[in-house]
Amino acid sequence: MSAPTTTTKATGTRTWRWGAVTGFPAGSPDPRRALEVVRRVDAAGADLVLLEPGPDGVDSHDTTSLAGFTSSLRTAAAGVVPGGAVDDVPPYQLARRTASLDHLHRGRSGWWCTGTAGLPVGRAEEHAAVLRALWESWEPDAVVGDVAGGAYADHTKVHAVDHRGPHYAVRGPLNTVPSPQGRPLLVVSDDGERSVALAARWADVLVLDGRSAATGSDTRADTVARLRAGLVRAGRGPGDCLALVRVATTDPDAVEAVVRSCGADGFLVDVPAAAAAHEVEHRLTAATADLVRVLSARGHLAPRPAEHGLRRRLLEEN
Amino acid sequence: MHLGWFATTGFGVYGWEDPWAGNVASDLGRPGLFVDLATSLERAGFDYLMLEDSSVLPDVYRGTFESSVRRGTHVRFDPVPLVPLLANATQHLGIVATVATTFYPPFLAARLFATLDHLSGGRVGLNLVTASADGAAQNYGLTKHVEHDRRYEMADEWITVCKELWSSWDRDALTLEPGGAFADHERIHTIDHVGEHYSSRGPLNLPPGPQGRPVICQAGASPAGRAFGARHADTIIAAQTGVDAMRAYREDISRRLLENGRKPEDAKVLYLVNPILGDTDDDAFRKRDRLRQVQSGHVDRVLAALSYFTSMDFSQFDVDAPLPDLSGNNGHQGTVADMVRTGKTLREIATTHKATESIELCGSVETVADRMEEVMAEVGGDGFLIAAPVTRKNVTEITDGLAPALRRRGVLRHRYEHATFRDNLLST
Amino acid sequence: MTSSATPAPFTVGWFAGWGVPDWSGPWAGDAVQSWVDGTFTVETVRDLERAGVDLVVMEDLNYLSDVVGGTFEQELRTTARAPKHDPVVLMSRLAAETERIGLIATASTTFWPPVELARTYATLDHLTGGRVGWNVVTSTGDRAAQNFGLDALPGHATRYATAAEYLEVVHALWRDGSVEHHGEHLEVSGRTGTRTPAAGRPVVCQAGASAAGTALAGRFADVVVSYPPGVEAMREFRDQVRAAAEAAGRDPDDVQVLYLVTPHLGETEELAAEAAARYYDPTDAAVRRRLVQMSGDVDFSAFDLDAPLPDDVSTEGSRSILDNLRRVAAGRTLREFIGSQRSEAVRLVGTAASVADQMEDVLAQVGGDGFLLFGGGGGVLTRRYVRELCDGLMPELRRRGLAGVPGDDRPGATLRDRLRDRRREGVLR
Repeated sequence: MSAPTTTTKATGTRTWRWGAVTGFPAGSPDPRRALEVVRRVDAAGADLVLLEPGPDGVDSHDTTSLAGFTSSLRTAAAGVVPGGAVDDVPPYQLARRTASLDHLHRGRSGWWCTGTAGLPVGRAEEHAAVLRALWESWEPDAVVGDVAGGAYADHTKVHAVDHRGPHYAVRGPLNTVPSPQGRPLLVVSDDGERSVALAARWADVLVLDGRSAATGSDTRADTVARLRAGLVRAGRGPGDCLALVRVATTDPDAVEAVVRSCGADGFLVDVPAAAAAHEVEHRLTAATADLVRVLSARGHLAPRPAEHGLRRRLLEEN
Repeated sequence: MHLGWFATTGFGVYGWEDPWAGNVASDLGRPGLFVDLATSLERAGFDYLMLEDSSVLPDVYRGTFESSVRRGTHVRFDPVPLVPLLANATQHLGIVATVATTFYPPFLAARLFATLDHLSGGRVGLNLVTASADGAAQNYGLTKHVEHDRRYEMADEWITVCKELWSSWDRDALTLEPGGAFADHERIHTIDHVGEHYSSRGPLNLPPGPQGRPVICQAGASPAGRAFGARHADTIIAAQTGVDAMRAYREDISRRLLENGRKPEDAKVLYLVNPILGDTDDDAFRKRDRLRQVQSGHVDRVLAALSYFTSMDFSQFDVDAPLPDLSGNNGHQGTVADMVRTGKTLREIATTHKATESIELCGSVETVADRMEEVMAEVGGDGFLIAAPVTRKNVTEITDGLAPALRRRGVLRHRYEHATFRDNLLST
Repeated sequence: MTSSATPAPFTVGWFAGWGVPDWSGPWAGDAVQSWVDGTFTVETVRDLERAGVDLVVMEDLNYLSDVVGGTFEQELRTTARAPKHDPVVLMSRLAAETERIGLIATASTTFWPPVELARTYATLDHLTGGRVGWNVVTSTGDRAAQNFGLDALPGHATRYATAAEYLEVVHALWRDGSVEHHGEHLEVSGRTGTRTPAAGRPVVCQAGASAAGTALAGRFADVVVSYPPGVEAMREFRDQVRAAAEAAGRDPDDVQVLYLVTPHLGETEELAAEAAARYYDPTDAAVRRRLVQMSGDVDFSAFDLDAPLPDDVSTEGSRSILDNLRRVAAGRTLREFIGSQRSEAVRLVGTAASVADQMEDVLAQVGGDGFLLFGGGGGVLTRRYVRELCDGLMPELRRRGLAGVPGDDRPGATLRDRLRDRRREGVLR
């Protein structure tokens, strides 16, 4: 394994991106707490909220429904991205529901692949390729709304996918219009080398685990380096997939240290919604007030426009 | 082209007997219908929603309240508390509430509307009326109403005091320096107004709103009314009938504006219309015929309305004789003079009376949009004020039928260019 | 047959999909854009709730078809079936935007993994406070199957047998939170990972009118969507569903058969009749739209429009639709009968008062449970149409104590409670 390096960090002109990870275990008192978490971090200027399905053995609500529920907030900027496993639902259904969700969120949603461990080799990659093909089965300008010509959409700009691979067969195209941001955001969790390669080829965000000292900063730095290198190998820009490190702490010094030590592009604060109400409140306050204020004062965070969808907000310079 | 919506009976009751107004009881005194109206108007690109108002339940006609409450026509909730609710549901639409200069102390009005200007993000306006009903005057402790022209003199002084109050803080008075002063006290001034009718020391005890001063809206066809409008109004409601009269009115207002050192484009003249729309022209004509039939069966409704406007009981006149000379009346002078001039009997007037139409608009959305475009080109005016009864069906026919047709012709805005009502209204 | 002196209240629902409303007609407004992010449906459903409509059913389809003429062209011109967003996702938004109305969304037993379906509807049940329902379909069209890794749709009988097992599995998941099922058609083992639904179990709605569909409805459905053509067929169908419920050991009153209708209202009878004439006019556009709606696996545009439907056409997709079609066509040419044919049980035309009379009268004859207002049949869905129903028809029904009557709005009432209350009120009267 190569030594950690800082030279591949290609995003020096960007301030940090940040957000929250929250989950809604079935035991939590009210799934409506989702609204409160999203509202608060959005008001604090966050880029996104990831909705985590319950880890094994923990009962959890359906994250896609929760994401749709929060679209009623009409957030100022923050995207809301539900998480799930590759084969929870067939890829056609997944591609379609996330496209629909992205519309409900006016171009600020996507899908978070929470893990690829245990899948047959190549399955996650093929899954991502099918999702991409379906999301792009309508050209961006296919909808014309031509009243005089009587055509809602230009059928020559809508294409079958005709995918036949070892794991999936999907004819396509999607039976709905393209996502407001071209395609919904794809987030991948780091759970090993294959997930990093998957992210480098297909994803917009790679989530690193920085919650415990068990995975050391050297390992994370190495992961970030492999992501950047993988992006270049895949013909993408080294900043085209962000590395965001998930943190359990809200202490500004600690968060800064974790992000800097691995050269990530920002962080995601854990807000465990299963906790007691006062603990959630405490954590939200710590994250949205103290942490944001201090990191902004240090020049790591800055307000940015929200007009062009979640992907552009995340990936554009500044 | 600018478009406004004139809610003809304010925050009140609409269409009691209309087939598409079945939810009057559940809408009564609730914001829902008006929130739907406001959001629909904004979707359609309207400049403003204007809420008419009055302060009296009339019993002029036949000496009873029957004609006032039979169909809820004269029920008026106070429109001002509705304004922030409508503002909260919208982002761009101007919201104009009616204020009777005769009854509001100017300081109270200036402060109230400056506050509303803040709450609405610079989207509030005042429709100034001088209140023409005796009963309203009596409700405020004035035994006899002030005479017509004198009311305009008072209104002139009234709005002058308001404007001075709105200017009592310089635009840069609010400094908001972190660690420094909130505001610069040297940029805040008393107005020390002592006039014939009003006195006010000032200043306002709040900073000016985003518009500086709210948009001033005014209606009034009499010479005194026109003079007032030319001096103070940002938008003028016009009820002139026919293209020639409309053009003459616009020219007259332009001349008067210039005389007052203002530019013709400083006041937008919007003409009252009540479009009847159908799937086809024929469909619309049949709807119009039906409405006329309903109206002709109810002469007393029009007579009751005329009684209210003129404070004169029209039940005393023979409906089948020409209208006598009523030039001494103290109400809507322009309207009554016009009616006498026609030489028609009261029944004839009542069956054809259209209080809210400059031109008849009836047909498919395409036909009506063509006609509106054509009339505006001839008149040189600024646009129209829709005065249809506020039923959800009427609203959607205008906002989702007519407005898109106007937009397709390139005569209606696609989006709001500016942050405030005033800038959206006056910049083009 | 005349209506009884004290009318029985009935259920009124709304039937639509998260698709394109009328986007090109004179009242279309901003529909080209405003349906896409859910705005149009949210506003519509809030309007319906205000007017006292009991529930909405959102239909769905899982493919963009090129059956007609071998291209997507006609689908994307008529927008009769596509584009269409996922209605289940929209339900979660509506959960936050409404307070009382029942929210029923379509999901296919052929394509959804059962555990995921049970989990999703359980979550929706919590988000809506017990107002969610599942409209069970087995899907149609090989094109749909090909989006889910299959070459062709399983046969009609297999789909319905699978659906019955599927429903058992999902009910077990809702009841127990986990299931271990080894059946003829399904192998399912898993847990929903959610809490037991607030409403006990979400309302089940069913729409297939074949014998297998009716049997399924008899076993599981609380609500049945239907449009048998004419009063006679309506009564017959309702009797079948009720018999199926009894055969399954249920109280037939626990199943409500709701009939699709697209009322045409006017200020006068004459204006309404003219509006209806425009709607039913068999224009080329109407014929095209109808052909697209009909073309599952069979390209109806390939048939001679001016000849009767051939006898040798059959499809595994929608047997009941084809059978119905032949019956209704009764030897007429395609153009003759599809041009003015719409997906509805009876035509309702008139003033609000006379349409209310007709609704009352029809239900008195079929003994029925209620109606589903449907604005999508001929592309008439506009804000204007919704408001004619909400501010014209619904208040008239409410005045008569027929629908949207107070008492249904108890806080905390689940959709099933409300359906049951309606039934009880009907019986008590």
